[in-house]
Amino acid sequence: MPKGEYLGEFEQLVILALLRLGRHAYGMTVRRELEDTAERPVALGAVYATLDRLEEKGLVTSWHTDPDPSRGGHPRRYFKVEPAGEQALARSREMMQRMWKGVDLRAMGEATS
Amino acid sequence: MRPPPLAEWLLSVFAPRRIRDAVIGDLREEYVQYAVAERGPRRAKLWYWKQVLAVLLHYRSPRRLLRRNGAVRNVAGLARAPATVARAVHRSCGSLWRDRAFALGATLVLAVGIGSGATALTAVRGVLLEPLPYDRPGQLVEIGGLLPGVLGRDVAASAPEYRDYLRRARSIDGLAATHSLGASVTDGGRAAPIQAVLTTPNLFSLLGVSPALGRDFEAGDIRGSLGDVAILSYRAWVEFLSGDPRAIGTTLRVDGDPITVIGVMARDFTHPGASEERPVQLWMPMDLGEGSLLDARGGRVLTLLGRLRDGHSVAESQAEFHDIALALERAHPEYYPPNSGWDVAVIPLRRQIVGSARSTLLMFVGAIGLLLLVSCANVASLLTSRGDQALRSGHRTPRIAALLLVGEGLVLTAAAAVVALPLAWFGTESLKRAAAGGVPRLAGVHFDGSALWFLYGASLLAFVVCGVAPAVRLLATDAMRSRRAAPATWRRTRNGLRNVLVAAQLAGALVLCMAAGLMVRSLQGLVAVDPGFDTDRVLTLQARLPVPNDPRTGRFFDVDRRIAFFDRALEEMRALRGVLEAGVVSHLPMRGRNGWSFGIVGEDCCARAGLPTLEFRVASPSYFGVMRIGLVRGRHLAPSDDRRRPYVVVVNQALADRYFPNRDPIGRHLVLGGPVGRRAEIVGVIESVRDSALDADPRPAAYASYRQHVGVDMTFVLKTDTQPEVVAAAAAEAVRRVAHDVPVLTVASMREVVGRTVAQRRFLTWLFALLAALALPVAGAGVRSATATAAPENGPEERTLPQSRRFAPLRHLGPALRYGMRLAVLGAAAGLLGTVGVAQLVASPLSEARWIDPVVCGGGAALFLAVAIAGAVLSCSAGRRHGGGDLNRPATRL
Repeated sequence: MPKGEYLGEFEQLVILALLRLGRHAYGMTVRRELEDTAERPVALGAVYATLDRLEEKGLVTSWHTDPDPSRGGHPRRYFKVEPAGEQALARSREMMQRMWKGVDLRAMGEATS
Repeated sequence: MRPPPLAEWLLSVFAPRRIRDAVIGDLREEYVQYAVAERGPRRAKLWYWKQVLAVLLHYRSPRRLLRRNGAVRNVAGLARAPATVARAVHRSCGSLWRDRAFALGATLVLAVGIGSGATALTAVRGVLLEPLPYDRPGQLVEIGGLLPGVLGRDVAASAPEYRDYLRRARSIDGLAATHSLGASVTDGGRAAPIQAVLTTPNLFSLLGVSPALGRDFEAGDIRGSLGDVAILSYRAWVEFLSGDPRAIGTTLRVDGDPITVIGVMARDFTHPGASEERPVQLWMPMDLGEGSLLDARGGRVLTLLGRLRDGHSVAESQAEFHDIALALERAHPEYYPPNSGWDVAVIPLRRQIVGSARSTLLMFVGAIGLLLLVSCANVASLLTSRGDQALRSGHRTPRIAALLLVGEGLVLTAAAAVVALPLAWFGTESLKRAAAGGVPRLAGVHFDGSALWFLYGASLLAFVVCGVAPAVRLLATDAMRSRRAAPATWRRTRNGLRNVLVAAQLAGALVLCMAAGLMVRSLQGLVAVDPGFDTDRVLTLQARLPVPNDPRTGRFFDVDRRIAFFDRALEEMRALRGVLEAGVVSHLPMRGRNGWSFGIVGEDCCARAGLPTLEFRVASPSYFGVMRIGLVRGRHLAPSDDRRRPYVVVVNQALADRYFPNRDPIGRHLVLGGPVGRRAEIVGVIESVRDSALDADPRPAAYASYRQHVGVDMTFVLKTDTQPEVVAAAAAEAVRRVAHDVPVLTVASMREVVGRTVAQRRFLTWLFALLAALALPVAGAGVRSATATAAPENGPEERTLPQSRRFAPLRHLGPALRYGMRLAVLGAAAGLLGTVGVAQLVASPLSEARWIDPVVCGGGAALFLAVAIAGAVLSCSAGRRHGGGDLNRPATRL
């Protein structure tokens, strides 16, 4: 399998956040989901840069809503994971599981100490 | 609770377009909903800034941009190619660092020029060039009546006229009618003033916009003549409903009526042509069918907004409306008398909105353009002098000196562009504050990406003028020299460009100086005009009685109740500490018109050219005392002039002079409001006041007593024995004590009211004075530098004016002054032409300021000469110190 078809760690986290949020997934909620659930401080710029990249790869799609007065008249940009995105996520998970097979960190720690 | 404006602005300028709106919206939503509550206001701001910087780093870092463009591989190659220029820039940085004073001065001069240029273009683009924020704005027109013989230009329309236009006009696709009025929203027992608009239900669909929340008006919303539903502006939604997205369906009490909110407009929506000081906050639907509330052909209170049908031009529509006007004149001669000049004008909406600000903005751009010219020419002339000195020192070949000039020009303009960025942002914000209310659409102007492009463009131009031109000129004169051209010829060529540059600075500075002088004189003349009433220590409060949709149910429908309200309010105000006297009037001077047609009993008024018109005012007898408007003949209005007594008016001197020349008007009767109006006896003649503007002659006016003709929208005037602002709060409270549901719309001192009429002119005057103050010393520095390094055309190059080894300032003063004066004459010749042009724009009918104004000409010429002489004299002492910086250092290669 070519290297480009696996996802980076942050890409995986972002796609997982999109799947968890479902139809409520837009920039702000994705950022907060990553902070709350993954407990990882994330900047909105990083989230959008990653989502843009995933969209360029065809793994997610996005669309704008009408201007929203509660956001100063700015629209929301909602995101949705495409089937290709779900497959890429599954492949990445399988790759990691294959790599973890046979690895025992505790045993390694004892061996090195 | 708003995020930091500067951070948000940075995002709006620098974030890529595809994510800009979403990111700004996300950050704002999170800031408002979570960040402040979770982190506290201070840390929330820090958090916001961090997020903004992260977005910019992710999308705008040079590394990412290079990677995006696939240019990383080529950077090394690119860097090798212009190695010479890079080294020149490097050496220029060193040279400028050693001559820091020069570098700092030149950078600041250029930055001020570039920054103000970007500000001017931003304003012009936003006000004049940017399309109106509606769908296909080029098709939108305002349709106004012309009755020059009666009411003048831009006359509003009546409901029957609206129906006629709608039925007959084929060139328009839709026609909306609006009527602006003040109203009050009762909120927690207190009445808050609000600017409202009654509109036909099609206004928003005609403009091609729809509410951001809720829905647009529908035909079924109207019951009777008016609807009991409303659409709110964003501001009103935040103010009265706390910005609650579930507020649709909420009921507000507007002028006592329960009104259901059905929609909220987007934040950036503005009502076409609405004042930025009092933006429209509420729209309610109205019906203009036959038998409706406003159904009177003479009741012209509607503003009409139309959309041209596809394929129709303004000219075609104008021709059609002219025919409609003729048809109406034939059908209703009593409303459109043959000598009234009746016609209908079709005016593009953009021209209607920004027309008056056009000349102000163009003057502003002209002034800024002159400053940019002065600053570029100044730095170019300084660099030219440095190049000359470098050559003269013999340590540089012309090619190396020219390359260093290019390098220095590049470094200076790059540094200036960086400094100019915050200057331009600050300039734009200051301009918005300084000219607030005076220039339509200015409040919506933002310093954005396109202004940045102009800034870069201006910097490039500055670089070409400052860096490239001196270098090219240096190489050209050297080529002439090597071709063995006559020394006088190449020296003349060498001095030529510098002379032109210095003369350009002097010319620009002279035009700015003279324009500032003329404007100061013009303003002086204007503010010295006696308006005919007292402005000292007079406070004004505008109050409006609420009128429900069915006026008969209103608390103030009964006229006696209205009179009682004003009587009690006046009593309360007179009892306030610091108030000497209180009065009330329907229309304050300098606050709009109220033209009425009238007739004189016993005379055929229509025989004159045009129907007679007057400004009709309702006032309390005490009003004339507060405003110190004196009596000429007869008597003033008296407290006894009430509804039981005959209807009387006092007229002003202008009316008496115009309509009763050599006759006594006292005892004569007027018919007010047209042929079927009310008869009023003239009981007195009072002094005329300038009621529209300080530079406009007083118009004929008549005043009736508020006890005989009382309105709902009145302004209290209070004479105080202290600063009027001190009693403002107590006076507003006094109104509320009398009736809690009567809102006080505006509170201002009379001096402020008059001051606003000259605000635009005052702003331009200050601007020109500031720019002149900046340009004069800059031009003086240009003369100093040019004189210090000028090569004489008749002597050996080495023995230039101040550069001889045995320096003797006094010996060189004469030649320096002669050279300085030659430059001054060149500059003055060019500057005078510009001054004549500017004077035509500045002159006002009252100010008597002409370009031959002796004070301005004398003062301007003296200042101009002083600057040129000071520059020449200082050059003598500067010559010894002036070393040309690093350009004179030996160097074997670049």
